[in-house]
Amino acid sequence: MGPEPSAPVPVEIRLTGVSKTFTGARGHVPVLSPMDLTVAGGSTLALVGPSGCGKSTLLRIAAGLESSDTGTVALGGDSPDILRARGALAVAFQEDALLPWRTLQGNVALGRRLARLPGDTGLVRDLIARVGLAGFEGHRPGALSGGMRQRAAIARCLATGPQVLLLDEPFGAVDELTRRRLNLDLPPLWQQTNATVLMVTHSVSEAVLLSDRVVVLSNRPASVVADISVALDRPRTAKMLSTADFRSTIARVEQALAQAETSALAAQ
Amino acid sequence: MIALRAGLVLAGFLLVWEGAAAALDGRFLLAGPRDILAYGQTHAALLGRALAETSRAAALGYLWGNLAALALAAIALLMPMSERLVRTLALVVFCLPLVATGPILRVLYGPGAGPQITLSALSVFYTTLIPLLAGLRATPRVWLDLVASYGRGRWSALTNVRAMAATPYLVAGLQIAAPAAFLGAMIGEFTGAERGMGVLTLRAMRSIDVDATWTLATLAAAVSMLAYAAAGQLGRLLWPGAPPVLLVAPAAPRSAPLWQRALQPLAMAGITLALWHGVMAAFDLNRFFAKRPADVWQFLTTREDARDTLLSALAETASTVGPGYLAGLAAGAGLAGLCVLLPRAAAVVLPVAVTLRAVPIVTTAPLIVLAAGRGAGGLVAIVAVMIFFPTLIACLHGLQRVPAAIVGVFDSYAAGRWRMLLDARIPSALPAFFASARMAVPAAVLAVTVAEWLATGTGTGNLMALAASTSDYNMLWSAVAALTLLAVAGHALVAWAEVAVFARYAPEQLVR
Ligand SMILES: Nc1ncnc2c1ncn2[C@@H]1O[C@H](COP(=O)(O)OP(=O)(O)OP(=O)(O)O)[C@@H](O)[C@H]1O
Ligand SMILES: [Mg+2]
Repeated sequence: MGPEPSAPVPVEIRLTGVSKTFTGARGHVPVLSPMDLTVAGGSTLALVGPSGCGKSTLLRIAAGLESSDTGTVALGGDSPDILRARGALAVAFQEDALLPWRTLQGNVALGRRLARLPGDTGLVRDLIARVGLAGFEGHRPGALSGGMRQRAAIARCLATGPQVLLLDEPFGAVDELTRRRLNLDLPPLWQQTNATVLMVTHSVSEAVLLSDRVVVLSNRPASVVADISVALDRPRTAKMLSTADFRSTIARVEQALAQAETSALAAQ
Repeated sequence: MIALRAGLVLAGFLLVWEGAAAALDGRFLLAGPRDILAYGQTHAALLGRALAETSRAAALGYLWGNLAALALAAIALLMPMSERLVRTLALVVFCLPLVATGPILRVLYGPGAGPQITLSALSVFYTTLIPLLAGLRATPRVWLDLVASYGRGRWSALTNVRAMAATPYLVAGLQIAAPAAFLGAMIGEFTGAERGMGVLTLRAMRSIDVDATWTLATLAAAVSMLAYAAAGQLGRLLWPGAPPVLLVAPAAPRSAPLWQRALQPLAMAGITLALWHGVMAAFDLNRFFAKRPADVWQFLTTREDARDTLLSALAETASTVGPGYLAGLAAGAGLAGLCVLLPRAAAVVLPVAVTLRAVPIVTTAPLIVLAAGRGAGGLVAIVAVMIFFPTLIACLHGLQRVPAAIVGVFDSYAAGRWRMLLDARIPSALPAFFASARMAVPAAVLAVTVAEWLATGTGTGNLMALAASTSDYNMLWSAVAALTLLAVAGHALVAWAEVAVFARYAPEQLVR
C-alpha cells in the first residue's frame, strides 16, 4: 500500500470470448455471441443496443452473478468473486432491488453493511442529498416513485466507494432534467476513487456524456457492431452538450444503432 | 366500524341460532346459546379444569411443532439438496391419521399428556413448514443478487433478506397452527386421557348429551378463534402491514430428466420405509405394538380376511372423502369468485369466513352428524365443511392479489368484472387455489376418519378405533399405512394437476 490510500490502482474489466445461451422449457435462446470487451481501468464504457439483446446478461456475467458458457471474466486480473468478496464491486440492477422493509436510509446503508464496511451515517445522508432525496430518509421504498427508488439504488452503490461499478439503466425512470443533473453531478464521485464503470443505457446522449467509449450491440444474440470513442475532456460540463464534438459523436452512435437494427431485420 | 359490523354479524348469528334451537326443539339435537350458557354455568369448574388441561397440552405442542418446522426449514435451506426429502417426509408424517396414531402413542407413552402434546405438535408443524419454505424460496432473485454482488454468502442472504422476506409467510403459518394445535390436543385426549376437553367431548357424545356436546364444541371454537386472533396480532407486531395471508408453495419444477422424476418417488418411498423400520429398531420398541413395515406386509399378504376388511373399509372411506373433498373445493372457490363479482357480499363473507376457519371443524363433527344424520351425507358434509373455509380464504386472497398495474390496464379499457375475473384474477389465484387444494387432502382424511370413529361407526375410522380397542396392532398399523398412502397419493395427484395446469397457464409461477 502506497502513502496515498485514496487513489487505489484502477481495475481493468476484461471479458474474453464470453458467450451465453439460455436453455429453458421452450428451447434454447442464444443471447451472447462469443465476444471480447475490455474497459480500461478508471474509464467508463457505455453499452447501447436493442431491448432484449443481452445487455443485462452481459453485465451480470461481468459481475460473476451469471456464469458464461464460454470465455473468462477478469477484473484487474482477478475473478469477479475475489472483487466481490473484497466489497470492491457494486451493481445497480435494472430492477432497483430495494428491500421493502428498510427505510431509504437503511437501504443505502445496507451497501456498506453487506460490504462489511463500518457504518457512516454522514456519508449515507450526503449521498442521499446528492441524488436529490434529502428529506425522504425515513420513507420506505413503497412510498417512493420509480425514479426515486432508482436514485436510492445508485446512492447505495456509491456508499461503498467501489472500484468496479456496473450500472444497468441507472436513470431509466428518472425525468430528463434530473437525469441531466445527475449525469453531471455523480461521475466526479466515482472518478474520485478511480472506479471503472460499465454501464447500460437506452439514452444515446447519456451514453456519450458519461463515457469514454460507447459500444453498440446488435440484436440477440448480441455481438459488437461498433466501438466509438468519445473525445470529450473530463470533467464533463453542461457546456459540452452544445459542442460539435458531442453532436457528431451522438450522430455516429445513432447511425451504428440504426445499422444494428437493419442488419438484424435483414438477417430475419 | 369493522368492530361494529362484526358485532352486528355476531348478534344476528346468535339470534338465528337461538331461534332455530327453539323452533326445532325436540326434533333435532340442537342446543341454543341459552342452553349452552346454562350448561356452562352449572359445570363451570369442570369445564375450566378441562380447558386448562387441553390448553396446556396445545401450547406445548404448538411450541414443539413450530420449533420442529423451523429446524426442518433451516435444514432445507442450508442443504438445498435435502429440501425434497424434508418435504416428502414432512408430508408423510402429516398424512398419518391422527385417530390411529393416538392409540399407538398412548401405548408408547403410557398415561399422561405425552400423546396429546405429540399429536398437537404433529398437526401444526406441516402448516408452518410449508409456508415458511415457500417464503424462503419466494425471495426475488435480484435481492439475492444484491447480496452476492457484495461477495456475501448464504448466511448473509438469510439474515439480511430471506428471514425478513419469509416473515409474513411464517406468520401466516403460525396463525393457522394455533387452532390446529388445539384440535390435535383434543384428538390426543380422545384416546384414553384422564382429563381435558377431548375426554368430556367423548363422554358427551357417548351419552348423547346434546347440551354438553354443544357447549364443548362452542368452547373449543371460541378458544381456537382467540388463539388464531392472538397469533395474527403477534404477526402484525413482527411485521407491520403484513400482506394478506397467502399459502403459495408452488410444486417443484420439473427440470429433472424423466428417469429421475420416475425414480424419485421410489427413492422417497424407500427412504420412508427405511426410516420407519430404523426408528422402531433404534428405540428397540416392542414388536407387539410397534409394527415394522415387514410385519404389515406379512399381515396383509397372509391374512386374506383382514385384507378384505381393510380394503372394504378403505373403499367406504374413499367414497365419502372424494365427493366431500370436491364439494368443499368447488364451494370454496365458487363462493370466492362470487365475492369478487359482488364486492359488497365479500365485505360480509370474509370476516365470517376468517373467523370460522379458526374453528376446528372436527370438534364440531359430532354436531354436524347430529344435525345431518348418521348416513353418508353427514360425512360428506363434514369433509366439505372442513375444506370449504381454507379454500374460500385462499381463493379470495388469490383473486384479490392481482397487481395494481394489471387492474389499471383492465380498468383503462373499462373491462367488466367478468373479463377481469377470467383473464386476470383466476390466473393469479391459481397458485393459492392449488396450495390450499394440496393442504386439504390430509385435512379431508383427518375429518372423515374422526367422524367415522366418533359419530357414524363406519369405514376406516371405525376400523382403526376397533383395532385399537382390541389391541389388534397389525390391523391398526396396516390401516395407518394404507390411509397415509392414500393421502400422499391424493396429494401427489393434486400436485401433478398443478404442474400440468401451470405448464400451460403460467410457467413462471413454477420458477419463482
Ligand atoms: N434467466 C433467464 N432465463 C432465460 N432467458 C433469459 C434469462 N434472462 C434473460 N433471458 C433472455 O435473454 C435475453 C436478453 O436479456 P437481457 O435482460 O440481457 O436483455 P437486455 O439487453 O438487458 O434488455 P433490456 O434493454 O430490455 O433491459 C432476453 O431475450 C431474455 O429473454
Ligand atoms: Mg436489461
